[in-house]
Amino acid sequence: MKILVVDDDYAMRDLLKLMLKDHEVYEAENGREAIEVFRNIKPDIVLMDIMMPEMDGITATQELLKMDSKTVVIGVTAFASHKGREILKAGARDVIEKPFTKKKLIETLTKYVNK
Amino acid sequence: MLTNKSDKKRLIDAFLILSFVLVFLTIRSVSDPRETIPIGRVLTESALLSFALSVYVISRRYSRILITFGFGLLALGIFTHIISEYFFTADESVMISEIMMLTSGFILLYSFMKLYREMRDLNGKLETMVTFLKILNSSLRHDILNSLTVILGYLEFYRENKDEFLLEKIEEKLRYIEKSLQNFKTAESLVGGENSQINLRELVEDVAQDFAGEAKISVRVEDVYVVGNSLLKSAIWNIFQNSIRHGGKSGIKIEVRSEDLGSHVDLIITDNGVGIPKSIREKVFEEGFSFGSTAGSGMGLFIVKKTVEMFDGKVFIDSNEPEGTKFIIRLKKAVVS
Repeated sequence: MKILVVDDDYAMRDLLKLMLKDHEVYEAENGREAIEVFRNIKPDIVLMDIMMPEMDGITATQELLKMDSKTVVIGVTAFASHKGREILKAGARDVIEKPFTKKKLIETLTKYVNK
Repeated sequence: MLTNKSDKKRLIDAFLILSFVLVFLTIRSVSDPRETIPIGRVLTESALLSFALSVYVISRRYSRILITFGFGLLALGIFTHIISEYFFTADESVMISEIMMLTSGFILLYSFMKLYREMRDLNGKLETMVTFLKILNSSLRHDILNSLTVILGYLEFYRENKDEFLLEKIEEKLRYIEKSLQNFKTAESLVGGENSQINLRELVEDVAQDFAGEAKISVRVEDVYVVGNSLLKSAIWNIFQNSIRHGGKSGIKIEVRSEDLGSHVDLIITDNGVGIPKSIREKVFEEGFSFGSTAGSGMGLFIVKKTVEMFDGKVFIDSNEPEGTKFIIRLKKAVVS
């Protein structure tokens, strides 16, 4: 499975890569970069942080869905209550709240893989 | 001519008072159509109203004294009204007490207006502080929760394979939390801190010493006192740290000098790092802005800006030829007592 990890914190991206080592993982530092990478690799799932410089995760989600309305975006945020709601409104399928465990991450991804 | 705001405010106040005088005179002349009000009396009333205006303008800085004075005059007016009939004719007595009460009315009205304005300003300041703290709180929670995710995640992997490298990653994040908490402490004292005078050269030398091992720093700063407090040190500290952290190479050179501008002094901090692209020079001071692979919480330069503004100063970035970044902090000189 191709997964695009979007987060401005490199340590978080490294961690997600480690957690998802059985998959093909691509990275982007912010929303703008995510759009570029998305265009080239067409990932199955996008894991999207919300608070990022240049272009935030909410705007990026809207842009990605404009490019392909079937895109599965999963928001990853420390503020699940309000930021989480915003990204769901923007079209994300689900939200993972930080801090999360590997188990929780895999469980959430599995929900969307076979659909 | 009216270059500063308080002059303009005073002019508006004077216009307001004069229009009150005119309205008063108009009402006086139409309220009793059968009696022609003697010109002498109108002039006396106007003169006394102008007196009230002068009292107000001169002593507007002392609103509490002014209110006391206004109430005193009001009481005296009522008292005069009661007893003056024994000493003056009825007309004179009415006129004297009316003038006294009217004068006190104006004084009180304007004192209250001034107090209202002060309260409104204070309210505005408080709202800014609350917003500032809210933003800060949210950013810090974001930073800490992010770091915790990474720490807990690496810990999970460490339990599986005991890789020492993961411990380094964990330590890095713990240090980051520590730094975030320091920033929070700084910002907390930023709210409601008092301004005093501070020796700029000593301050900069102090900061330079903290970074002596990490960068080559040269300081050529005048012995000048500026408005500020200990927070100014952390603002300058943040700029040094920014140069070192984002400079893109080790052994960065930082030059600090000052330039006298009369009422202000520019503290110019230049480095020979990778520089900041022109397109984001203003954005770097925005809340939550961070840039590039070494980006942090984006709070450092935001706090720098807020701190410097608290001391009526400014901070901006200029191009540094041929390379690097030039930060200019414009500070107000202190009147040394």
